[in-house]
Amino acid sequence: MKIHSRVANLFVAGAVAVAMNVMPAAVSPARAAELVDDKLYMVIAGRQEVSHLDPAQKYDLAIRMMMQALYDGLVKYEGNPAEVKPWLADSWETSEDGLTWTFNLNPDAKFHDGSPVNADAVVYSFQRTMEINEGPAWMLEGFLTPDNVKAVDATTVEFKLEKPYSAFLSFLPWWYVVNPAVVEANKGDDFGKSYLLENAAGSGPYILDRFEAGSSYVLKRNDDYWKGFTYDNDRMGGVIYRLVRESSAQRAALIKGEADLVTGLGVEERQALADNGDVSVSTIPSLTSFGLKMNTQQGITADVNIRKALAYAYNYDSFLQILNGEGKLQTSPFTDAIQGYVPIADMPRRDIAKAKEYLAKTEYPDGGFEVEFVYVEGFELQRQMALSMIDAFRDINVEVKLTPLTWPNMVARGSSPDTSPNIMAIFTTPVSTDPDAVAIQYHPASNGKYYGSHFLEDAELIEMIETARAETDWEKRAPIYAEIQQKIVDLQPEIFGMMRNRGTVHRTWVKGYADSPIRMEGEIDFYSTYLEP
Amino acid sequence: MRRLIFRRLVTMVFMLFGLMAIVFVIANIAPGDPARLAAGPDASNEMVEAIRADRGLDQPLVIRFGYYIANLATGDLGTSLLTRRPVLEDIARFFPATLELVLVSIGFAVLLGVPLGMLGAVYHNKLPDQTIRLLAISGVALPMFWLGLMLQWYLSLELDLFPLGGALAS
Repeated sequence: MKIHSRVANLFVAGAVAVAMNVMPAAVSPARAAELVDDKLYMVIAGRQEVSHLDPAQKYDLAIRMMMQALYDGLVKYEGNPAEVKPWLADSWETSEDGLTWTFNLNPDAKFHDGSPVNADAVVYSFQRTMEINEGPAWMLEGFLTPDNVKAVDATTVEFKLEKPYSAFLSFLPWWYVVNPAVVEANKGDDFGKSYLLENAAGSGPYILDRFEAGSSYVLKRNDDYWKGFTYDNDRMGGVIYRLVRESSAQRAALIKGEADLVTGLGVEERQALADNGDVSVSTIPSLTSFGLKMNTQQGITADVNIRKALAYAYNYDSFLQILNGEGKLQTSPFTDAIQGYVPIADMPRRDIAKAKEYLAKTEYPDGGFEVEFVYVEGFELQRQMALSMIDAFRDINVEVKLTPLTWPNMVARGSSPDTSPNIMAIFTTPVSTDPDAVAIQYHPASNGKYYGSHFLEDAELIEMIETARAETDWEKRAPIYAEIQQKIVDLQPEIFGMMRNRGTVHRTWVKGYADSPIRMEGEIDFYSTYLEP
Repeated sequence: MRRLIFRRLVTMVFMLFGLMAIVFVIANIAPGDPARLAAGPDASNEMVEAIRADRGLDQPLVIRFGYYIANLATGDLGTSLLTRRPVLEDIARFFPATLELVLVSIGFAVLLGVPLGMLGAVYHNKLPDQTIRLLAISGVALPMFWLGLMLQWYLSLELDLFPLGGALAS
């Protein structure tokens, strides 16, 4: 009996395959892209669900990808290296004291309903985000209040900051402008938050066609986009972002031609596809850094000499070996794409003699202690790093206790100096290329956040960071950031790791695809991307 | 009989209550901060606290359990932190697909499993029985995820009978 019921199980998998065909896609696949009314729809197979479309709520890679397609910001990040480019705003001026920023809007800009994207809409959107106080609100917290955004005339917006903030402009690409008429009409009792979960109110190059939560999201190209397109192909009809939650299925979909572009594949999977002549792999070094953060307040790593000893004992080549060469070691706490990056000459590299020198200055001149290393459970890359760490630290007689945890548990452990482990593996992606976005990670303002698990508090460094972020003249800021980078290396709150290359794989008929390091892994900017007619 | 049913129903109420209490406590003592999760990784600590207060996560466990029970009684399962939609709405959206899968697989099981089982019984220890047994044992032994992958590969990539995914896409 039991065996027979297991036989039934055998057929479940078959049934799954059959059920997949019960409701076939309404539009039949053409060469690769979906064809709808003779227009080409680019199919993207991604793993991250789009949980909402509201620019004022929490963002992640999938949400940001949709935002960039449906909405416009005053400015936009483009290119490699990422640069802030004029978008809704044609130009802007800053006052002498760095407090007043005036933006001149492009008079041609219009929302999907045809109404103009004017100064009132910009003011409304900024105030809405600040009042909801979620999503990007943290970026300008303490610098801007809802009352200090004003419409001077129909196409001029003025921001009066509480104090000078040099990174101000670099955050604006993530503040998208919503159509006030649409939001007001669906305001409800939550400032339109419920409405914008599955509806959009933007002016962007794409228009929301269908939002099918948990399965697919269909965007229609906005043929009348006020800014026009960078390519010439009237057959480009839209984009379908389809959830395919397993990398093997993503790969198969790409090979079979059910997807034109897939995101989020690992290094080995990308390399396996590289030989396929129908497929292009584009990789760029990301803005994301990977570091091993050490608790600077509690436990054995509170001693800077212990931290230095560990940093000199670590085997940095293992980072690159694990990534099959698809990465680059960090030469500063700032990744290469951050403005003002300077390579630090005495960045620790494996040097056992030096490690022992530092160890000699501590209570444990001969080692003989244990450090706890916390990393993401089930993440093969990090497990391999852990093994290489055991090997490397053995040379200075230090044992490693491995603690794999789920991500929420890691964040919970890292939220207080009392529970933060000796060493924790963390990927950090800043949302801005301004150096303040990285420097602030080593300021007590970041304590309790996932990248602040080192709890570094150094009076001199704090002062440098605060001076630099208030300075508006780049000529004066740059040298301060050079000093900040050196100072952070001296304090060694983490074993500075590497920048992993990230890649996107697409069929060769996908054209105009351009990645920018500021985007998250898997976050595609649809604007310039199109299918060969 | 009526008394028995009544008694069972009463016990069931208590059992369900106990079960809900246990699940609630486990979900709440598990590490991880739901307010931080809802706010996003970059959110300032003030924003996290605002969300905590807004969702009532700063209240004592007992009071939150009270709210939970009261909401359940009115059919409100709460709002998902992940999808930001009411949980009931999410279940309603995805349940039909689950049901469809289950029904199709039960269909397969009954239409194939029962006749094969009968065949095995009739030809006990003869070739048909042995073949069926081999099939049955293979079914037990093969890992499901592997078989699923192989079926995807063979039925979709090789034979091109089915699309690889998108049952819910229209």
